[in-house]
Amino acid sequence: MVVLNGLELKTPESGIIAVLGPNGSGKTTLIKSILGMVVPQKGEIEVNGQRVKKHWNYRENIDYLPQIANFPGNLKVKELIDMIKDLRGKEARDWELIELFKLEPFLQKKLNNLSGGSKQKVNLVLCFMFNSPLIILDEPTSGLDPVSLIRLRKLIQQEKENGKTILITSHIMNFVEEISDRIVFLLEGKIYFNGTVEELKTSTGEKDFEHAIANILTGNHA
Amino acid sequence: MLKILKYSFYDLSRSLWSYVYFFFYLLLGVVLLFLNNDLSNAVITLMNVIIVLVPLIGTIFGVMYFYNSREFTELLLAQPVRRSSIFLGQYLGVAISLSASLILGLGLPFIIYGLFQSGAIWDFVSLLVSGVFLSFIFTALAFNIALSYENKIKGFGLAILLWLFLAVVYDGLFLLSLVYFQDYPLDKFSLVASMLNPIDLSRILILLKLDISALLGYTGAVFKQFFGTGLGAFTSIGVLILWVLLPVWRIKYISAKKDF
Amino acid sequence: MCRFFLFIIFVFASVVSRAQEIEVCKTCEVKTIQAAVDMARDGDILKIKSGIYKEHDISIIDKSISIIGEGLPVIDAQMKGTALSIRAENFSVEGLKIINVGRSHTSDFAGILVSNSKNFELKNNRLDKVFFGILLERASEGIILGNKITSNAKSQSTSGNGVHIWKSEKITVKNNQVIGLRDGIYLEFVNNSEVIDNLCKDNLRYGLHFMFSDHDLYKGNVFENNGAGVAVMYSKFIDMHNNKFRKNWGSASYGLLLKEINDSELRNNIFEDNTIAISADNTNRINYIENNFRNNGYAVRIRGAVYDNNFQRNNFLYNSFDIAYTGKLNNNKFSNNYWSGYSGYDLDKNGIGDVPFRPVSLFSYLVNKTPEAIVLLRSTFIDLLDFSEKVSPIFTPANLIDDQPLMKRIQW
Repeated sequence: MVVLNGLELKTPESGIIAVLGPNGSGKTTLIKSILGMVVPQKGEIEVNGQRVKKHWNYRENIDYLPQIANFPGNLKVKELIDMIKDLRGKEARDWELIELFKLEPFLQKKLNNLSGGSKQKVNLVLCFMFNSPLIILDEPTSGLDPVSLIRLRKLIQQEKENGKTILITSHIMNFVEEISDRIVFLLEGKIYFNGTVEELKTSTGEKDFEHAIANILTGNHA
Repeated sequence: MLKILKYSFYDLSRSLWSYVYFFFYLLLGVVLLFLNNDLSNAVITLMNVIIVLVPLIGTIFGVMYFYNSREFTELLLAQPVRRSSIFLGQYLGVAISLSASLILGLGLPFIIYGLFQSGAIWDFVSLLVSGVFLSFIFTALAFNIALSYENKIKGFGLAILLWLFLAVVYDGLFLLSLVYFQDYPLDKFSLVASMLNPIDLSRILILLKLDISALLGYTGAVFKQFFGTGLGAFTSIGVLILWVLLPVWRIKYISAKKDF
Repeated sequence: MCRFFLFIIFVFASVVSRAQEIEVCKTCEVKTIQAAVDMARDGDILKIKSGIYKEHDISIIDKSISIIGEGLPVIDAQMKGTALSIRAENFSVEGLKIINVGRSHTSDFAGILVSNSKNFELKNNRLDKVFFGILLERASEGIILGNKITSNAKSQSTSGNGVHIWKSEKITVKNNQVIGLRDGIYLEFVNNSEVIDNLCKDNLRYGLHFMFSDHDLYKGNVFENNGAGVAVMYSKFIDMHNNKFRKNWGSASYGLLLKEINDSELRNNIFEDNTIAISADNTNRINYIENNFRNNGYAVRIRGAVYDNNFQRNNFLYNSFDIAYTGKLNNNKFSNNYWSGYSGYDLDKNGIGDVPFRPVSLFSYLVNKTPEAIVLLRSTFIDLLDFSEKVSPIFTPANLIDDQPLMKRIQW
């Protein structure tokens, strides 16, 4: 099955890039390709000048937040965090994040017994606790309560200020509009638009971001 | 890989099934030795258990673990870890924990019974060696199946079929062809056919200890050389190692190409 | 009776009083054994001092003398023929070491050849690198005791037997060790004799071989790793007690081969690790009672023309096959045996299983037809096959059963 086809994308050194597109447009596949979870049949992917194919250590420089927080259910939250720390062998700021998302009461619980929102928080801790230059967030907002959402937004801004590259996919348009420096719009595995929010608005002639997106979609279908 | 192995092992050590498996062997060992009180009988019963049950548990457990730890696998795939390390680590985790259940579960009652003072120790060792090989082989085969089929039902079905084929059907076909072609010299064929099935192979490894008197009753020179010298044990172990290595290599090969 | 006994003592004492001792050694007056024999008279004692005597065909004819080796003197026959050849009554040979007996295709050279003799004793001799060890022809009332006979037999045509007895009677063969010959002990036309407590090991053909010999007893012997343990052929009234048959491995190898023998009994023997523990062929009225069959390929293989054999109270323990059977049941009986493969139950707790046991498996039939199938031994498929055959026998004789299988091993 061909999901992504003839896609060429270069991202600048830092800033927040939002990858948008309807369901099945290839957002997750794009992310998984970067992570090496999906092996491209053709073409090359490079991260920080390092080829992805058949390599693995470039992932030391990537923090990834998967879309669905699936964890081994037998483990306790604390054990999971320790395990990932052990695997990476890098310094981590897990306590800071645990406090930020108020996860202390859940640390000794098994992941099976956690609600979707709490799982997502654990997911976020695992993702942000390492200080990697590239952060990939697949639907970071799903299941989060408003308070945590605000904290997440702050966290992302902070990371951006630290000079990191952040790749985000999200369905929540005002979240995207607010934080992203650049929009990449995917449709049927191809890049439909690649530019800033402002450029998107001007090119579609819409004032409102959500409408601009809708415009691309309807324009395509028409 | 060692880290993955550690965590797979850790994960399995909390799974109820590992304990069920361990206690099953413990119970079996205790019942056979202390209620029946006959070492030779125990060894023969254990042989039947090992050549039937160990492959079955290996396949089912392997497939089950693989499908159940999909989340874990995906989590790991995004980490800076080599792909082959992930799958080989998980594979070794399952295979080692199954082997450990087997060795400890049977070993403890046997040691308490005073195995070291008895002549049956080598029979018992050959049982355990075969059991460990079968665990490693069938877990690897199970991982192969699970890696190739996303659909759990299909994977499970295929795994059970594979077990049924190698444990029972294969020998049926084998016997049928022996009887059908009995006018031809069959000694080489029968040895090769035994090599092609890891269950038969480990059975022969045990037979070399248990029934050598009967095996040496056959007149063929090839048999005589195979069973009468160290060649039989040597070849059997060699081919068993191959039976582990090939599926493991395939795990590595498929997993390198697979999308998640 | 008492008077007769006194007479014997008197005769014996008078013989001893006239007896003369002749010493043989390198520095003695008499330097060779033959010379000593030539000068000896009835009742003399020849003391052979230790040393090497390169002599062969030493012959003792019609002289009742005792030859006693002191410090194990060696008679080296230098591969030239028989070492010691005796035709006499009332003699004994003791404590000699005899080596390098000649080999021949035409003559049966032996360490000690005894022919047409009576009332003798061959005791505690060591024979090494011999063709035949001790060879008896037309002898009677002899004792062969505590000898050790070894050789390095390579092929049946170039080797002889350890103790070979032909046309003799009332011979006792006791406490000997026979290792590495063709047959360990061979008896042909030997009646009313006993073979007791011997060890026969690593012999090419049989540990003990009976041919046309009746009313004999062998007991307490150990037969290990011979071509076949014991062959009893064309004989009758043989008692076989308390022997051990071990590790007789090979395609034509048996613990005990019975061929055309009648009216005999096997009791309290142990058969361990043999390819075939007992192979019976043309045997009639044989009782097998309280024997142990352990870890054999086949415990008992019954071939044709076997009538009225009775297997009772034996232990069949973990043999690959308990019974292999050719032909009809022919009034042979199996009852009250213990079978380790028996999986029945005993609800009335009388120690006897409530379901009969079928000792012949379908697989043994298959292996008989297709020997290569042996590699499938103990496989799950075969177990299923055997199980279904036991439930409803089609290929195996339906009436071949032990209808009173014991629940516990017989201790004897």
